[in-house]
Amino acid sequence: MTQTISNTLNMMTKIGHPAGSQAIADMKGPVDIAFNETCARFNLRIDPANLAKASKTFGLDIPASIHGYAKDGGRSALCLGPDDWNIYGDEADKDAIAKAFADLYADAAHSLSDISDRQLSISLKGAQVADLLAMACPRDLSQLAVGSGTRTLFDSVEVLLIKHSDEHFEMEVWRSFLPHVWAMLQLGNQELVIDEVLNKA
Amino acid sequence: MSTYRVSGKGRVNPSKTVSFTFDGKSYQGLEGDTVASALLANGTHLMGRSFKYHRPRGVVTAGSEEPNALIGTTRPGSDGARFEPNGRATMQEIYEGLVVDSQNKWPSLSFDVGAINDHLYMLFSAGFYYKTFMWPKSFWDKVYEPVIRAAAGLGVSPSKPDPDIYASRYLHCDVLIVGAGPAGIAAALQAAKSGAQVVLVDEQSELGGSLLSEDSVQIDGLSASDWLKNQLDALAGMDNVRLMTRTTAIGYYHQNMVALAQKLTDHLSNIPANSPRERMWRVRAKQVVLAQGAIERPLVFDGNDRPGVLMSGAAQTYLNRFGVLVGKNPAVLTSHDSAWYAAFDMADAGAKVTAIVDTRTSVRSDLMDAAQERGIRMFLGHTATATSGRLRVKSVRIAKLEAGVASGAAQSLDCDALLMCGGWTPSLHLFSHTKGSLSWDEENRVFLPKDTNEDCQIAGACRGLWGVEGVLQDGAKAGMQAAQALGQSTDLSGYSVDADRTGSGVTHQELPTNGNPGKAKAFIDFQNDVTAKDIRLAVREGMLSIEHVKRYTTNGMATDQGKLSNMNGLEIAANAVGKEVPQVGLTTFRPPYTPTTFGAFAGYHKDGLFEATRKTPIDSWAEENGAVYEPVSQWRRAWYFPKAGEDMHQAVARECAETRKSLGMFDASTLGKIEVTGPDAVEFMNRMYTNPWTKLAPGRCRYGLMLGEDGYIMDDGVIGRMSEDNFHVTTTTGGAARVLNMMEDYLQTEWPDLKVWLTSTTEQWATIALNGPNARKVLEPFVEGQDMSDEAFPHMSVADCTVAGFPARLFRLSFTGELGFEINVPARHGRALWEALYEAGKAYDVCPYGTETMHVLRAEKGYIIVGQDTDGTVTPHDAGISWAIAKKKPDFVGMRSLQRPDLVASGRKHLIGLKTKDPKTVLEEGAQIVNDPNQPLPMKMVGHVTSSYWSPVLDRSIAMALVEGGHDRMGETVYIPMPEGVLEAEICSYVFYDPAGERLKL
Repeated sequence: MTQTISNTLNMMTKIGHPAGSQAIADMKGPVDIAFNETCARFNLRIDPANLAKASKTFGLDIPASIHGYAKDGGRSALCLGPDDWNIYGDEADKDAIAKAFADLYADAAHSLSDISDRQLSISLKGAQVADLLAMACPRDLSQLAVGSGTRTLFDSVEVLLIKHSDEHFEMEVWRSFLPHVWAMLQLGNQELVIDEVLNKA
Repeated sequence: MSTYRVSGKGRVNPSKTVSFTFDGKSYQGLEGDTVASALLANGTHLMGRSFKYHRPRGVVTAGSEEPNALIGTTRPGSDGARFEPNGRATMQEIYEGLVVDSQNKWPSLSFDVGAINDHLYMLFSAGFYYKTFMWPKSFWDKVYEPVIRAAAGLGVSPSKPDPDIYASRYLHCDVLIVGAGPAGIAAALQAAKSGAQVVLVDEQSELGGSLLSEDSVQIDGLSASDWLKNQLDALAGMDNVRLMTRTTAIGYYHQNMVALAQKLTDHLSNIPANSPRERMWRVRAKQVVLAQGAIERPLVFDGNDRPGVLMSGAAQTYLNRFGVLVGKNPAVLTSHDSAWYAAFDMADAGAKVTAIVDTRTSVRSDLMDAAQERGIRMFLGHTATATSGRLRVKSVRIAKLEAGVASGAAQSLDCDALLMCGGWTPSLHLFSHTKGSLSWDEENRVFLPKDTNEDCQIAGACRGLWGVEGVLQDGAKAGMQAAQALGQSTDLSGYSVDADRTGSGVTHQELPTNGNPGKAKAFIDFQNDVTAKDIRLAVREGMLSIEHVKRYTTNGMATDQGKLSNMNGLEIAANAVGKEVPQVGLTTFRPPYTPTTFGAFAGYHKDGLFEATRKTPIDSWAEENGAVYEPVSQWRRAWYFPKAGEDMHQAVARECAETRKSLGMFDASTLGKIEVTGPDAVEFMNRMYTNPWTKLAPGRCRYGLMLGEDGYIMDDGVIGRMSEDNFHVTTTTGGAARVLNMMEDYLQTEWPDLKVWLTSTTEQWATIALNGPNARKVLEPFVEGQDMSDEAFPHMSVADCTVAGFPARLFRLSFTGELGFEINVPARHGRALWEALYEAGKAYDVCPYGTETMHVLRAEKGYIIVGQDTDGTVTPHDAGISWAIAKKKPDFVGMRSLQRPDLVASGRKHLIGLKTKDPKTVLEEGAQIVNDPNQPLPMKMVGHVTSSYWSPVLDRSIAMALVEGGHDRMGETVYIPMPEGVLEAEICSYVFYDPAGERLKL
């Protein structure tokens, strides 16, 4: 991530009781938590009857059912509601995607809103990633099929989760909620290490 | 080492000594001891003073139901910060260095001045709050309550911030089993065999429940401890089983959501760095098996609270689990077979059991034979009428029962402990949390679980079963039923138990006595110091409902939640009322099952994680430049930017003046933003907002007003038409989510035919407002793709263009009355744009300002703030902004409501301006307004001040207020009574500055 972006995120540097606060950078755990590269991200809202046209425009078969996720090359799409998708592409393709959908509008009316800056994407990798998410996500993520995604909550913050594999989740968070979520994830990751120590104690 | 420890008995580690202190004195226990077992091993029964009467009290139980042995604990090396009151000595495991203190005593546990209350019984009897201290009324707050609170109470609150970390986690499983006694373990084995995901929890440090205290039974040919070890090893080896100790199921909520409070480190002397102390598990289980067991019921007789008088089952636990004799010459007082086994275990471990006193006239012959063999005297058909001993029981006085009446000569039995058993009460707490119905078992005089709406099985002693074999079979059956409910079938496991300890008994109200019942201190609720006669007194004084009796006497209140007291209290109340127990009913069990720390409930939500604090992309610049912040909904916003030596008033006055004089800049990123797109966008806007949108040309913007269905103002904001089919809506900061939700609600439920779609773009954009006569001069050089002249880009225009090289949505609008622009750029560029504009603005003495200056500048212009000048009961007409309502639209949200009689009635509260008679006086926001300050109290209030500021540009105070009929009262004087005196103000227009709007025309 560029310095420019991180400069606007207001990440917390430490948390805890002032007398014994801990630097977030010092929190280590079994789950690899990292920012994903920024991308071109749009919220696509369109009548499902016109989804095939949107897929053709986008160059990816956009999944029709909620939780559906598709990825091919640099393009991906996640279905969030009956007429609600997030679609993703390389940052360099942003204008081209916008132009393609603008050209589609007369034939198939829709809304394509640029939300590239609204949220950021975090990669969570590791065997204990489900335990980490369980600290604050009320959903049973074992029921979420690999290769699908969902809108859900993490510590009362609305987030998107995409399950790439049992050990690899992607989480998208609106930028103003990101410092809180990031700190929670780091604290929880450290907790997983301490759990191991306590189990042996 | 200690004289009460029995070598070879118990599950403690005899090779590992642990030192701790109790009331400053050092004690030694063994690894595996609780504070209670370690103190008992040292011969100490006295562990606390009672709640009201400060009576000396000893430990009564060996579990979480303990009412007496409440302690304060302090973790060593924490400088007192890790102090916790009201812990239970029976649950706190000892570790090296643990500091334990008794509670509610002064100056010491053995000599307590507060025990004078014991002799003032009449002052503290049932309902004493309500009758003794009613007069004089003024004494209540200042004298009676503080004195009572100081005298009657439990531990003191910690005085230092809690430095510990508390965790939480969600868990989903097929079968959650609460209680790891024989029933729970059998249920777990059975359910796990089916392949189900099983979670087995127990509040104790070891799994096993009653089996930890009953080693003499043989299960499938093995001793209880060997069988237990085998089964727990088997469970631990299964991937689909999770075993949790020190974990209390504290509440059972809707749809099988069970809260578990797990203690992680309270038993450790060395805590891993940054370890959470407790974790709250929120478990969603497809099936729950409740196997909570039963709680032994005390017998109610004079002196039953003397240290050394305790439950027989507790004595058995102290012996078999901890290797501790609670006394060397114990006597047993019982109405149930189970206490006989406790006597046998004690005798077999070397105690000289003085006698078994049973209220029943006949007892099973095998029990009598076994007592005979051990040389234990038996007194059948006897009652206890008193005990003696100051800080420890010395003797119990018994008398023969004739037809249920104590008669004949009393005799005294010497003892150093008295083991009592009044039967067993099935633990129905969690079952009752589910609102499950109960049935009354007349034979055993207990309530049993009946029906529940939850997916819940209930097994073992908590549904009234007794004896290990029956309980094991029942647990297995519950485990199988849970598996079957999940569509999995298994063969039912069978268990055979030898030397099982089955039994039965009878229950009592107060034990019959030939003493003076009016003087008897026969306790029902040890923790709340409620006696049998308190219950009878409450009934005599008219408390007929058990709920009233509970509140009048405090029986079963607070942390006890009726564990020990409920059934005895109920039996006595039913007798006093002259009804059967089921007709009197049972009080409600409430979560949590046992006292739970605030920390466990709060979890991570403390300090920096207390709640998500939203910050804008420009926030860091504000912080670096000394901003003072204020919270606005979830956001923190720069409130003002004080320069060295400035207070808030001075800083705001400067920011206002500099903005009006030349140039101010403001971070408006928190404003809600919604993209409204589609062929029917304009129709949708016409329906959602009061204003007309059809004729608003692309490239123009307009103030939009949104009402609720009720016709009251709900939100507002400037809305730009970006193209024929696309609007950029802004909302108030706090209203963003609410407005989007309401829009989606209408769209999805009322107008699904409209081809229009919504997307929140609040966080896509960073928004910077530039205001002041020099705003254009600073901005213009940065803009590409838009002619910035007044002709090409007049007031209330919007354009997509480039600003400082960033793609931007540029609005010309004003919330200050000055020439103003709002520049939206993708959030990542917010700070960079701010810095570029700030640098360029220096040539014009640019002034960054915060929300307070924004409020003052808009108030000078009479621009309302929804939520401050409106309160959900203000119509557009009330607020003086009827001009924002389209005259020719067929409908919009709230339109019909605006015609309701009470919304068009005269005399409604109108938003008006106020000028104080003394221009230097700034009114207080929220102050009440009256027409005549000389009217008698209570005065009629005709309105209140909604906004009030010092206006630097007008050099006087200004205010806005909602006043009845205000629009028709221009020039009239109203009065604002304040503590310092009555203030006068004149009603005026709320546009105080530049009413013609000349300053916008630049």
